[in-house]
Amino acid sequence: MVPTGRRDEAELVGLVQGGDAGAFDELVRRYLDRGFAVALSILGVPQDAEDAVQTAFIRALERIDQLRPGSPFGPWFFSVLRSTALNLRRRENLRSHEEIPTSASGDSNPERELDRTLTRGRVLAALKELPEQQRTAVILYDLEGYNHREVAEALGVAVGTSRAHVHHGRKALRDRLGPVIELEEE
Amino acid sequence: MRDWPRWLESLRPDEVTSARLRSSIVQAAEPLLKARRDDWWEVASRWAGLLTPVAAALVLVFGGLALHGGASGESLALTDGEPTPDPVELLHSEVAPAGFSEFDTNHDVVFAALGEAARQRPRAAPAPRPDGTQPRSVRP
Repeated sequence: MVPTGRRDEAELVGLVQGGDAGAFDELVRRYLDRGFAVALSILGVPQDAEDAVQTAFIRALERIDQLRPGSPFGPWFFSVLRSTALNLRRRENLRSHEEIPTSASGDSNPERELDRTLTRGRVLAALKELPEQQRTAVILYDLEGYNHREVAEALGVAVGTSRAHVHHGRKALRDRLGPVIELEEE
Repeated sequence: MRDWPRWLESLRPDEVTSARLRSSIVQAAEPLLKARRDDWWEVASRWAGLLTPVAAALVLVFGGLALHGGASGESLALTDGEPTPDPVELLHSEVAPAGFSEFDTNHDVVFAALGEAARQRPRAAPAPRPDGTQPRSVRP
């Protein structure tokens, strides 16, 4: 097993293709949190988001030979994750997050956990109210780290339109969440 | 990758969830990773099995060539002890090379020597004709 440090992602992908567990663990460490947030923004339920993230990582591992040499892992993984989460939502006809107690986090501080759960619920509700394109643009830009050109390509719109979607999406979130969360300007 | 925006912090898993999920993913992935390692080993073994006879054949061919070249090298090595004179230099040199102590570039001397040798050589008697007469060239 090769010791992992801050290594080039293409190198990590190559090692994973050869079955290196350390390299795979490094990729999981890099993309787990954002992956969870993306899945949660789609599914609305933390437990389902966990399932989606785990399934997506395993699917990514099964198909990692499809990743062209030198291509970044992140965007490809997020596309696998989005597809996995959407399939999960369709197939299992998931429950809405309002019906699910979201107290399954491992935080040992009950007050902080409650606060986090409430905030999370409001953010998810606010995201859900956004038009589809705005929500996707905000998620891609803020969570997945895409730039405006990449968001535009993913949505099939012009770069200016992508900027507008991110701007209006954030503004709508600020309007809804302003009293709850401070939203920074773009 | 950019930092997390503050408003999305609430969507981030807490440390315990993150650690648990990570461990669970790595554990679930282990059989797949092992299969990949085994596949690579099988591929390497298959290639090794395929390439071993080829490598052996190459070793034989090049080994034979090396032996042959070695033998030639030995005969060359025998002449290496004696410096080979450059032909162009020889043409311009008045000093005869080893083995040619009477070397002379004067053609007249050579022709004279050849003529003298022809005179001194006894002529061979031509064969008698079938009718028993001697050819005309033979004089008593």
